[in-house]
Amino acid sequence: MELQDEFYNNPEYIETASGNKVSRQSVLCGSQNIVINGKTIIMTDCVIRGDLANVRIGRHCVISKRAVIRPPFKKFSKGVAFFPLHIGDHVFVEEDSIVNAAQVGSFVHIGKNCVIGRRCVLKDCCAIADNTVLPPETVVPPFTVFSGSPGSFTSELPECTQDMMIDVTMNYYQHFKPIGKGKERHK
Amino acid sequence: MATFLDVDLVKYLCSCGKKRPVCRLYLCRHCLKLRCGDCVLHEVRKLVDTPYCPNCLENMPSAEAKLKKNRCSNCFDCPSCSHTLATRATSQMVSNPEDPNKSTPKKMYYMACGFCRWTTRDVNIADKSVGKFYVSSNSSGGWEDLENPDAKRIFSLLEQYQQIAQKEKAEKERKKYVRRRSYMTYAASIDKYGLTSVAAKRKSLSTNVSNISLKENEEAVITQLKPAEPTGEFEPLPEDVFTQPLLLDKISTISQRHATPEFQPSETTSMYPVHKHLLIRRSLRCKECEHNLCKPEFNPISIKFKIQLVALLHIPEIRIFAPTDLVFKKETKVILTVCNPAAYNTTIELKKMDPESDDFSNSKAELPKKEIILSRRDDAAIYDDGSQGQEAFKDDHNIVPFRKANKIGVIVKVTPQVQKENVKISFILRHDHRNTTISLPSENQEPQIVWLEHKVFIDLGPVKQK
Amino acid sequence: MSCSQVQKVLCLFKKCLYLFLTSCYQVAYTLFMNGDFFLPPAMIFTETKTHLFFVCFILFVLLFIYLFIYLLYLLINYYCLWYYYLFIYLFIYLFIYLFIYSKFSNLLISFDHFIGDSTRRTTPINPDVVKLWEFNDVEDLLENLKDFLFNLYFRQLLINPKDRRALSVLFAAGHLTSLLTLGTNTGLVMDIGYTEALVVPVYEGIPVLKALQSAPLGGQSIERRIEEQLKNSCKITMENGEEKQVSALPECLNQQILEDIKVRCCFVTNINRAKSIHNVTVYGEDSSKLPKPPHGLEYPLDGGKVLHIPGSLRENSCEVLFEQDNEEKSISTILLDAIIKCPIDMRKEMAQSIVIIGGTSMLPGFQHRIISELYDLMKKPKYQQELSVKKFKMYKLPAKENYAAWLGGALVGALETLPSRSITRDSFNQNEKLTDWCCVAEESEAEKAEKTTAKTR
Repeated sequence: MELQDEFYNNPEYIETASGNKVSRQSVLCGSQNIVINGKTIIMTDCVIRGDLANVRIGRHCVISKRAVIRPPFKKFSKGVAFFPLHIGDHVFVEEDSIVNAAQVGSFVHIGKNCVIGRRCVLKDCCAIADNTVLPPETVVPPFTVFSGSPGSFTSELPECTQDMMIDVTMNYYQHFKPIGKGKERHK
Repeated sequence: MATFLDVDLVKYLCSCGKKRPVCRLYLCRHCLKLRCGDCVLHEVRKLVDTPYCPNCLENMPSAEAKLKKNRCSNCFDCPSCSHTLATRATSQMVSNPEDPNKSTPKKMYYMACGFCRWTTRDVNIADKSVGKFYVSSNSSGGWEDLENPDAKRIFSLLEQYQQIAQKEKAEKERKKYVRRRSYMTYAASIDKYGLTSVAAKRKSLSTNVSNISLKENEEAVITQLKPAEPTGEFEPLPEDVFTQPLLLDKISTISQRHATPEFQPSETTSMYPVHKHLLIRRSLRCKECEHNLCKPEFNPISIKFKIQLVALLHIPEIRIFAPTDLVFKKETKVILTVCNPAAYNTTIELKKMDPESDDFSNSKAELPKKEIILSRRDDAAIYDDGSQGQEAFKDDHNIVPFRKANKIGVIVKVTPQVQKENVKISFILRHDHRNTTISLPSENQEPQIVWLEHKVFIDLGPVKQK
Repeated sequence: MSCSQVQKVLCLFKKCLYLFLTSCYQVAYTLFMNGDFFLPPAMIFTETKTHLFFVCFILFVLLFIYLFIYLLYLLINYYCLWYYYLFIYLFIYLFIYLFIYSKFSNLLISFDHFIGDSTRRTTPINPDVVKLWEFNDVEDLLENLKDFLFNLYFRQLLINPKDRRALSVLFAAGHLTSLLTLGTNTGLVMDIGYTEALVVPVYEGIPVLKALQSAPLGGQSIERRIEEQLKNSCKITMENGEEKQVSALPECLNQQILEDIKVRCCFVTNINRAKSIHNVTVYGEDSSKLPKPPHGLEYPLDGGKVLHIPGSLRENSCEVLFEQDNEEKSISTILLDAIIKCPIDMRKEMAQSIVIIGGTSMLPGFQHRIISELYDLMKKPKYQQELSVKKFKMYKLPAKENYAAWLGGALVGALETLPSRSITRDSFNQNEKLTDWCCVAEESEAEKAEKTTAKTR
């Protein structure tokens, strides 16, 4: 099935010059530490915690409603340090998921209601099934699907995952359309 | 992405007769046939496709992996929840060897599970010091593995059986040359196990079933192992089973036991960390022409392929444009989208399938009769408006309602003939394909154009109930 | 105010302050545990939207503290009643908690996600395992086999199927192969698995098929017994504390749970207790004669439900294996029956070389019970007349019972002579028939028939 149009309330979203669409109802803490590379959608009630550490999100990503992107921390004997969080291109994070990973590669699909624990490393071309809990420091190799609680390797992805993810994220962006009159373009 | 879109609605018929979504198919460019995961040769190339650990992502040579029973020597799984264990550092006061009165802090390591909070300390495994952890002759990085107490016995049994088998083989060989037809006194055991021997015995009743009797000219002396001794005494149930309450947390579950089949601990206090099992990447090969269909790179982290002949990149992909309301016995326009992945304009045609070979469709579908040209895939096109150049195709809007870069919509008129089930249609997709393999790039030849036909099966969903 | 009153007031004031600080501390602690520190002040003012929340919040708290202290003074002056402080304390505590959790709940990652104990898993390892033998037709079987071999080659062995081709097939009975692990070739082998118990005497490497005995007793029958008992008498406590009969909630029990109860809670009791249990359950004696049952337990089910397992269930469930049915069959009688069916000169040896394999025999107390059960049966006139065996002996396997047969098979598989012993692909292609016991039986029948026809002629 082809993706269907999804409409959003135009005044609610800010569209930047590089094509990012960011909901005004999202919470971007420490916005000077957040880099979003372009054509990425950040939906209502998302939280991105740039105040803890740098967050970099690649091109053509989709961060669905109520998702939380939060840099991971590590406890040391002298205290706690936060690490930057990098998300690659064409990454799809579905609703209500919490991403605490150290690194999310490109072409990654994170399902609904997942918890990606602290300092997880998600390599390129992998998928996390809905309702998965990845415990801290899990490594997800390419072309694998992790599911369950604790998340474990269950199946493999087709070799064309990269092309499919590009197709889906780009289509999603095209089908994500405004209704109503927008405010003037944001810089 | 296979996990996001509902890819199972449109399926293509593989050359082996199975219906698969297009992302799970391959197109062999030598046979020009569709192949699926079931009808290709999965292979593990020596030296290239080496097993890797899914946690540390390090390659391990196949020979070494075999020695280590396909398990990573550095990474461990939690015996309780099977999640990967993490190494934790603590400091411990160790008395100074030079001055016993002073004690110095020393870094010690233990392993803990981030999910269920199990630690190696729970089962009284001593913490490891730094030196031991890194510089270690032991393969498991300082963590001793549990030893199976029966392993020695099993290996000596195996050795004995192998000696017997070798002897038997040697005797057979000799029989061939000497042509001495004596009543071979078969070596003990092996021969007699198994049904084939029973059957064989019925054929040649001459086989003498007796114990080992060594021939004079036999050099190899088989070390006869002592067979196990039966006992009459077995441990009775401990009395406290009847008097003490059962602590469910202390007793391991079946899956925890099966994680280490050789020990199968019944108490959680005797569960030991399990070495992480390795994974492997495979290359695929066409079964008919033995050409590679898919060949990943050496590095397990890489997502690039040296050869990748997935069907999605070579044949037009059909999808359902939007969910449509289908009414019983009423002709409805259903829009399908066809996407051209190739770098040249492709002509497609939808043809009716021979009703005899079609056991899938349950509704009538009126297909467009003309050939349709699909524009080539252009990666730069996304930067254009996507509006120019569309007029060149002169589309009939009753057939092609829209066109966008390399994607078009095609109208198929469907009349559902069923009321309760899902409406299913099928047809043949015919398209031209430029075979780029046969003509080498040095020869300045036009690539060969062939017409390919694929059977396509579409599930359009249920009929709308009034 | 008198001097003592002032002291009292001061003391109370200190107490209140302490309580307030602890509540603050708790909030800070939860934030800390979740990795959220209070943001550094510089950060607060650079941020626009959310951090205004924080600023407001902190100002609010300061104001509150001020008000609180003021109020405190007033109250202390007028009433000097301690429960007011408690009330205020609770109020503040609640207020702060509600405030934080309502506004920032999506910032906080619940720690609970990661805390589970070893016994509580939300999902089994493979929720949709397809068993090899669960098939409707040949195509299903092929599909299952294909998946099975695929997993074997690419998930477990990690080798190229080309390098390890299955050139020939050897069908060997588990009873035979398990003897190999012992280094002998004579034994009375009982395989007690999930669906049935099968006894095959093996003498000098040859199975004595004539004496084969079987009974439909095994793990499945134990699980059925558990289910029956649970449905008859047991209760489940729901999340809200309400108690319900298990029979009213049949969806709570599935095979996995029953298996888990069997493996983790049940045991095979000793023969003396078993006899008095049999007297009550089978022969209908008064239940007051039952021995004191072991402790019951609370078995946690999904979603906060708790299943109450009585101690008697733990003890009685496995008795299904030893209760003799209408044909007077139990797993111990089929062992003796198998010995009786053996030729007379083999019997003694058989009785002293019993081997028990199969997962069900791993239940605690099983081995001991079997031996004592055999001695007990020998007292019966039926067996006393037929058998003159004085002593029973059993082997201890160098492996766990549930994989002993596989281990023996693996030993055979590692031998060079395997190809000559097994059915090769070519020979199968020629006559498309696999030799098994049925074939042997057919052949011998055919031979017999030939003989009889020859005789009649």
